[in-house]
Amino acid sequence: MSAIPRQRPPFFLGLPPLAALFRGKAGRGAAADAASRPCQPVARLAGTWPNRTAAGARMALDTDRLLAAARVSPELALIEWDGDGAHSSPKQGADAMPGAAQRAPFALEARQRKIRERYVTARFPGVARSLADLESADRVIKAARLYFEEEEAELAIELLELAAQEAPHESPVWLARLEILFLLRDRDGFVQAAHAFRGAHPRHEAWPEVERLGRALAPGEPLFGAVSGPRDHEHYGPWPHTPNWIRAPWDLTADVAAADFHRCALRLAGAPRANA
Amino acid sequence: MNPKSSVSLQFQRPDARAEFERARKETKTALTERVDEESATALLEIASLLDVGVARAKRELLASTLAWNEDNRALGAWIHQQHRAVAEMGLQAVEPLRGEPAHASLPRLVLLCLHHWTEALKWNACREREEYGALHALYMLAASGCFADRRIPWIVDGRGVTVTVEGLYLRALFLDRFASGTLTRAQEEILDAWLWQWSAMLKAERTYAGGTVLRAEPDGSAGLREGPREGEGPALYLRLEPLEAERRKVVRELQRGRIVPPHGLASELRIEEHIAVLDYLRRAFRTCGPETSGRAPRECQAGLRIEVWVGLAEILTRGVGVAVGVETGRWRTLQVDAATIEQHAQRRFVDAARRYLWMANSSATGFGFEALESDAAGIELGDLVGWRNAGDNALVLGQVIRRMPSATCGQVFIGVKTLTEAALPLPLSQDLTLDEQLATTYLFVPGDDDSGRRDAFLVPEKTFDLQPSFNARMAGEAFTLRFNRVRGRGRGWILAGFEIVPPQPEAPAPQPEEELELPTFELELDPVEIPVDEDTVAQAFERELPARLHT
Repeated sequence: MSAIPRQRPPFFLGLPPLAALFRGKAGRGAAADAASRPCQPVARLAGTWPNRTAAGARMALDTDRLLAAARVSPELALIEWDGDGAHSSPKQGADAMPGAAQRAPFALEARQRKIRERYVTARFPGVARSLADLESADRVIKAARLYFEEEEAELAIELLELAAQEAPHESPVWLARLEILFLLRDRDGFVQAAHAFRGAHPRHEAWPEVERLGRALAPGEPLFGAVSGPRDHEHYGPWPHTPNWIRAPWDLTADVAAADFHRCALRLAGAPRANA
Repeated sequence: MNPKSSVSLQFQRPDARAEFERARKETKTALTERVDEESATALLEIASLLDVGVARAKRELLASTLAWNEDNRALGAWIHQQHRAVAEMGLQAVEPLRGEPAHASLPRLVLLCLHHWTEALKWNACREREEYGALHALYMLAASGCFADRRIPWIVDGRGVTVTVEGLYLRALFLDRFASGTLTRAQEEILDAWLWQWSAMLKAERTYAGGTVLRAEPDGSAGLREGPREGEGPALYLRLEPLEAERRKVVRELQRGRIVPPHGLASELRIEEHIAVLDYLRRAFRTCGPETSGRAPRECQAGLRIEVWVGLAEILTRGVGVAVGVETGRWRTLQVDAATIEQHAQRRFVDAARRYLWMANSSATGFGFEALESDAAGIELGDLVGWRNAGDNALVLGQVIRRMPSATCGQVFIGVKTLTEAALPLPLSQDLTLDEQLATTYLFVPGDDDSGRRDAFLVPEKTFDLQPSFNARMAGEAFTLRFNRVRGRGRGWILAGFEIVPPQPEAPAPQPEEELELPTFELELDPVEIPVDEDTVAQAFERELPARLHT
């Protein structure tokens, strides 16, 4: 047996009681009268029905006070930036600048950030689904290396640049960009990127390596120091060895497997043909 | 005469279009009778009205990603006709003033001709041989009148700008070269908006100073050409380095979350379209360089009729014979593969849905096709197309990179860049798939060297986004691969590079069946001692019965 309590129907057969009809009519008439009269509420809830004149006066007072306060410049102590090195730890190689301030992403308005995100996702399909993906140094460096291998160096540099803006604390991204610029023999780009890296990570442990590459690519550039000998790198050949900041794999198993796959696929096709 | 007072600019409506045409024809009649200050002003006025009205109407046409319907096409064709007619009226008005280059109305009339010639080009629905001679003559007239580089206020899309005759002349030739079928209308609109922004860079040099240039020959009848002029005669050189610098500025602005230009219709178009134009310009500027080898030689292939499949699904279904999708049998409601249904479908629908294109020419890098508009319906820039080679029956795949109206009315020319001439369907099964029978067939695109580094698969965009691992088994060897880079992309497809990854550790071998038998369990309860007195046991029945049973 159902035990659901039921409400008593307010109206019989959908009709309100006669008293209610009269009361409603009277109520409506009273409301019309009240509307025609000037508003003078009898009962007021405390704090919810302020006096119009008093409220107006208070608002006027507040506005004046706010405007007056806005005209006076606050006396604040000057904030002096001690430089990035003040907060960096010499032992930290990768993240020389800890803290939320350094991790703050490229400062943009919300709309601009949305457009930037749309741009990044459309520009780098499969690499970044959002700006947050650019904070993954492993993912970004691998993608940049693949772009570089595909002779899309411009995309590689752009991706690393965007990632460095999004996560400036990720020094591997800066270093990978420097290495690709070095491999491209882009002297101006390398010097510019090295300056930026020096500014962002002033005491990074990899800086001597950057100097070594910089001296080879841009001899005479004061940022990299003086050339200390006829050859400033321990490597036979015109160019120094690179530090593999782009994380190219040493293991050639995947390359061998790729060749095997190619051979098997063509064998399956019956005749070796290549694309145009 | 003031046509503005009576013309509605709601060009989406046929009555407004008819009203404008009436006003334009009245202006033309007045211009035929005499060319004076009043008729020139009326022409400029009607041209301005056309510009404002089109600026309103094109938003609906270009900002939508939906395919055009018949009304849209009619409106586009009408816009082209009106711009062309206004440009011709401008030429008609300029003609009697050739003898007096210092005439006050001449600079604005020349600007009008150049502007509307270019607008007509943008809305072109039928390929015609462009009259470059008229363009060159207009520029020479401006040069002789010493107003080619004079800055003149002008109105474009309802906005006031300052332009020069030289800038509009180079804009016309630039758009003609770079936007003739290789960009969609929305992308053309973006490129044009950038050209307005870069107007300061659209300057002609009389001598070749090295670098990457495009040249115009004012005494000839051709458009922009690459490099310096070899023979005698005047030439104007447009340097591309400043334009490339401007292109890079656009990239930097997008990185900062700002669209270029920040206003107008171009700012409302999808970012993907902006990126497509940026990439296109990058490639185009690179190929204009002196070190490039130019286009591959073409070979005429007239008359070769080919059935072409469009899109990955159609290529797999019709070109490879693979059913797209997986039939699980769980919700089988109709036996669609019944023989009668299959025959019926083949007889009635399949043949009607086939597309036949005529191969016009071929080269080492691509193919050119002519097609009826009905056959080319739905084939757009970026689409993947495939066909079987007539010789060895190999599956050829290409990307549509050009689509433009053919010289013959009702026909379309389609330019296709070759992706491969030997695509190979390969079944790949995902790691997550429990049943190996549910492998999906993908198109393998072999690279041009034996190392396998250039190999790729054609996959749907969604498949690439998920980036799962796939297993392939060929010639007795098993491979595990993962897509890791985009080598090319188009509408709905990606040419995905891949890497061979170490195979996943195999699951432990199942135990022999006899060992899986459950041991026999025996339930055994511990004895519990409950102290019970004898009276309780004796009166137990009495206490269980209700009192009424005792009565």
